[in-house]
Amino acid sequence: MVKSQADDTLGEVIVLPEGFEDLLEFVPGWIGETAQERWDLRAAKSMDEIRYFYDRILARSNDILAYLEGCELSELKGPCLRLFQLQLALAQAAMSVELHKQPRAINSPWPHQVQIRLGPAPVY
Amino acid sequence: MTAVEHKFTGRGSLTEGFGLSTEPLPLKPYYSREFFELEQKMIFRRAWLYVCRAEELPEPGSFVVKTIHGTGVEALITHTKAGRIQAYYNSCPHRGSIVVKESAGKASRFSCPYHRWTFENTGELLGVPDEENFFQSMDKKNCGLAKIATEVWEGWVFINLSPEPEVGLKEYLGPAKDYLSGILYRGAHNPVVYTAVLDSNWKTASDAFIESYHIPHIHKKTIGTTFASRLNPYSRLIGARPLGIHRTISLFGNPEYAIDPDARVEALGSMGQEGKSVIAADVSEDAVRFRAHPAINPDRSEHWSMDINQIFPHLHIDTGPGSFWTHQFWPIDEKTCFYEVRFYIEEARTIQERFLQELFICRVGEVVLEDLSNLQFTQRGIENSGTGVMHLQDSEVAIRHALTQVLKWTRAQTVKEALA
Repeated sequence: MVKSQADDTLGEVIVLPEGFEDLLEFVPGWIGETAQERWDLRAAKSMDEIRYFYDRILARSNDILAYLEGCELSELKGPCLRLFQLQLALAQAAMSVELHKQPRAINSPWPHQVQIRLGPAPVY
Repeated sequence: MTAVEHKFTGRGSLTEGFGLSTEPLPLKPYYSREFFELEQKMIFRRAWLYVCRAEELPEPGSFVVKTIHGTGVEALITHTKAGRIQAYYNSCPHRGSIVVKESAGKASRFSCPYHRWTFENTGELLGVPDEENFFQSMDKKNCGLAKIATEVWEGWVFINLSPEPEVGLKEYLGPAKDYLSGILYRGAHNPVVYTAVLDSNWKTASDAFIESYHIPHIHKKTIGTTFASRLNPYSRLIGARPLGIHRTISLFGNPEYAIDPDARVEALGSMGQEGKSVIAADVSEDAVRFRAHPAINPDRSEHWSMDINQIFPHLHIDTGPGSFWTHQFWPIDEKTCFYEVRFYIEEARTIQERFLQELFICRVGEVVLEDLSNLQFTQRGIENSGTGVMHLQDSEVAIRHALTQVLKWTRAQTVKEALA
């Protein structure tokens, strides 16, 4: 199944696919273009912000994954890409909520030297 | 008490098995400027140094540029039409300018940006603008890119900075070559790469990745329960063996590890997977073949989590249940090093898999950060030690063996002697 990937170029700005309007408040604050950007975004937020995002996205994760299932990974763009980037950011939020119980790893400096130079393919 | 329980409660004998003494070891090699210079001369200018996987140079014309930290060398590595992988100094024989500015790409010829001297990717000088204004004493045949000795073994590309290496790569790898021979390197074309410049000696950093004694404390929240359990609370090694100047160790894994019921995203990530966690076993045919290799879980232990194969001086090739990853520790000076870790993964085919990979790299990022954050404290303490020595326990045998080799290389007059 190939999902319609309506883009901003159609004249009307569609931020997220239809049915995910409740997640608009996380765009662009939680949208990172690379794994490193998502790491930086999460690490700079407060625990309250992370927890709020985590709860909201986790509650919609099954819907997000079901909606995007069958999409060509290399062709993801526009609203679908943004929706997936929110889902990917959930992985970051989970580090704070599920592991550290605080925004960043215990005793770790911020900013720090560790950089993701190349994320998993396709990079987004 | 079962045999396994006994193994993790009595004192081990790995160190004796390596034929090493159990005495304290000196800390000076971890901070001395003089020792750093000695290492550069006696190790990094004589040993075969791993630079990249051959998959980074997939076809004729592919090239990469690698900084050989600490040595001042920048290596231009090419894949020639004849199928050879060869490294050159990335420096124009005319006036020394950098020839290739990109870090990777595809080109059969290179043109120096300064005066447009042009070279074949086999290093030969092809063209010199206004050649007639040079002198007869200049022989174009001797003005190609200077070669760096290069050898490839099972996809691992090594260079040697001595003008004429005393021994070839195969002799250098010695028993490690036979031990690791034939491993199916899954995902070798698809790395996830992390880098960091660390405020620690390269050995301080490398040592942190060849013992599991620290895992229950430093990684309590991230992977502590994966690598330790009531059976083996201090994460003692399953096994260890020397491989000439190289070595291998196998780490304990908690077979009862299960996802914390509160870790709901981790559970979501493993949805539809056979295993129980993001680092759980892959059951594909390739994964089964990978695990069947005798060097992967060599003791065939049900408590196994991963192996660390340490190739002297600065490469770790780690193998887990379904994949491999590498660490490299390049000295910059006596208190700084450049660290690079590459996790090789199969390309995701579905949204679900891509999400799972994101979760994996998030988790790994946190673990690496925990290790690296701890290093600055180790290094500061080492430089401030009142005793000048360190006391290593049996599960830290790889550190003892590694430092013993470093000391030996800095004293040996020849590479043959260092390898003996």
